[in-house]
Amino acid sequence: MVNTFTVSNEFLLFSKGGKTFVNFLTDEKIISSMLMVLPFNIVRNFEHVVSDESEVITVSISLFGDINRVLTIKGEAKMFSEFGKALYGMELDGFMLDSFASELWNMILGGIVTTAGTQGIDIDITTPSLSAPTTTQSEVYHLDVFNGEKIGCVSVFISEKDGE
Amino acid sequence: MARILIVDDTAFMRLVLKGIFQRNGHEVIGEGENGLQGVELYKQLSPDFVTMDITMPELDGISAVKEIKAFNPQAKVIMCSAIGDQESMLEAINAGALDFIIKPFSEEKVVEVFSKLMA
Repeated sequence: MVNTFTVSNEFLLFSKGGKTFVNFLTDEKIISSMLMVLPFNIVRNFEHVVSDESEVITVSISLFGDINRVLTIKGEAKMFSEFGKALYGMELDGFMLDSFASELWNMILGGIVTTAGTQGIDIDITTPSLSAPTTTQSEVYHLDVFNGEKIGCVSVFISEKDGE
Repeated sequence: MARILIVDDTAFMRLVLKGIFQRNGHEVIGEGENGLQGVELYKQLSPDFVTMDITMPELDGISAVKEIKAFNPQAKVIMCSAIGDQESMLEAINAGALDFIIKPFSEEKVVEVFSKLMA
């Protein structure tokens, strides 16, 4: 079995067993998996950048197997707090909010792994870490979150793994 | 009432599961942060049931189930994981897990699974 990744414009293309999978980690797939977990409307925003001045939470999880990338979610702490309230009815802050954010990203990417499995793509994920990879970000999706009106935003970064 | 051991690397998920079990009259007798702790706590505490995450540091949940089942073939372990693909579920069941709860889950789902297993 040979997996071939081509970086740059075709960053998300890969082949497996002679079959080419196109842009598996698209904004649509990520948003779709987020919508399976979160009771909000989520749409891509091509301009937004999470403010560096706000208190932010960053969680990274590595994918390995047929796809080897690091997926990072970054958002304002208050956004994750809203997610926690909506999902579990809990007011979270500090350590427990960080822990919730880690679990949330784990659940979202778990959904992507499950979807991939139904398409013959074998990937697994690592445990979450509260940091961003040091490698170049090759793809960024800025996502607005709506609950009737816009309540915040998160950014998703797809990066190569360190040393690759 | 069942005596339950929760094994999950995320403190938040342990908190959620503990709340569900306590609200439904069960006792959480231990919490492990990884598979290795889970196996050690199982041997120390002999719980009635174990909830086991899959992706964890030190020792993953599937390997932990195998070790627990090797120690006690009658052990009752329920997997609780965000990864719900067929391969993972099959691997867990082959390792000896009784059931599989996919995250995110509702309280009703957890209660339903445990009620079925305790009947």
